[in-house]
Amino acid sequence: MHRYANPARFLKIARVATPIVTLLGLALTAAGLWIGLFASPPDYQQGESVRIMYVHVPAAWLGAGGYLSLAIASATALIWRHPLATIAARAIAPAGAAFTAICLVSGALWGKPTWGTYWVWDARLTSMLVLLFLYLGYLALSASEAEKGGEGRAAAILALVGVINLPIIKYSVEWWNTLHQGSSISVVNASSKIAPELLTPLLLSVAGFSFLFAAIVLMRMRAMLAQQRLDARSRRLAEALA
Amino acid sequence: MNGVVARPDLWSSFIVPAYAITLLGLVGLLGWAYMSMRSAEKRADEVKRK
Repeated sequence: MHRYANPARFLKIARVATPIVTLLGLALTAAGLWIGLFASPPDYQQGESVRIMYVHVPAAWLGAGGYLSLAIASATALIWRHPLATIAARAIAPAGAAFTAICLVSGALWGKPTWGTYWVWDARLTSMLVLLFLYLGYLALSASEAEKGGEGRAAAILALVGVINLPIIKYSVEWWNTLHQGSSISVVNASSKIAPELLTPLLLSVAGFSFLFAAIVLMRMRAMLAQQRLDARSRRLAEALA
Repeated sequence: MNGVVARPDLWSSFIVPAYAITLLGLVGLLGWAYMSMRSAEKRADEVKRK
């Protein structure tokens, strides 16, 4: 893993991977959303509103999954002090925050026709809102640390502390009485309660959103590495002139 | 009117807005990431050539 964490080697791989991952993400997302909107049948209970699932569920999974990868990158940065891990964490945070916001908004638009309300202080909804605040807190703290030339240790610690929210999100529908339904797909048991006609576009959207998430992270990492090269050159120039 | 409440149209009131917000968010995020990467790498290459 350390072999690929070398910035020069990473850039070599990222330059090849970025267009491939982006195109895969766009194609799979387009296919999943098209089938979800026009080709899949309505749900026998929820009717047409089930189509919101094809944007809501992938956004929710990536919001939570993104936070887990943010925490892993932060732990790697804290333990091994690898600069690429800090850059990865800083690249993941805006994408994770955006997917969490999309999850909350699409969930509100699904909640109104299903529950009769856009928002309720339900355990699942509230823990997802807390996740968005954790992302925003991380973004603010890491931007402030980066401005002062810091390594981002306080932001990394905040990211690790926030991991406690992930099991709360996952098990909120079991620990408390909530309006939000329980999970319909089990990754551990590789089983699903969803009919295949609805599951296919959902899995396509999940795959597409995941590739888009990866593409955004790769692009942000490349931008930050280029900025670091610029800053290093400016410092060397200033030192030479002094 | 006689206690009858009209249900909003699911497509125009909820499904289309959910997809529109999602697609705008995704395209905006992807576009921002791409533009920031292009401009940073272009500036770094220009400085390297000088």
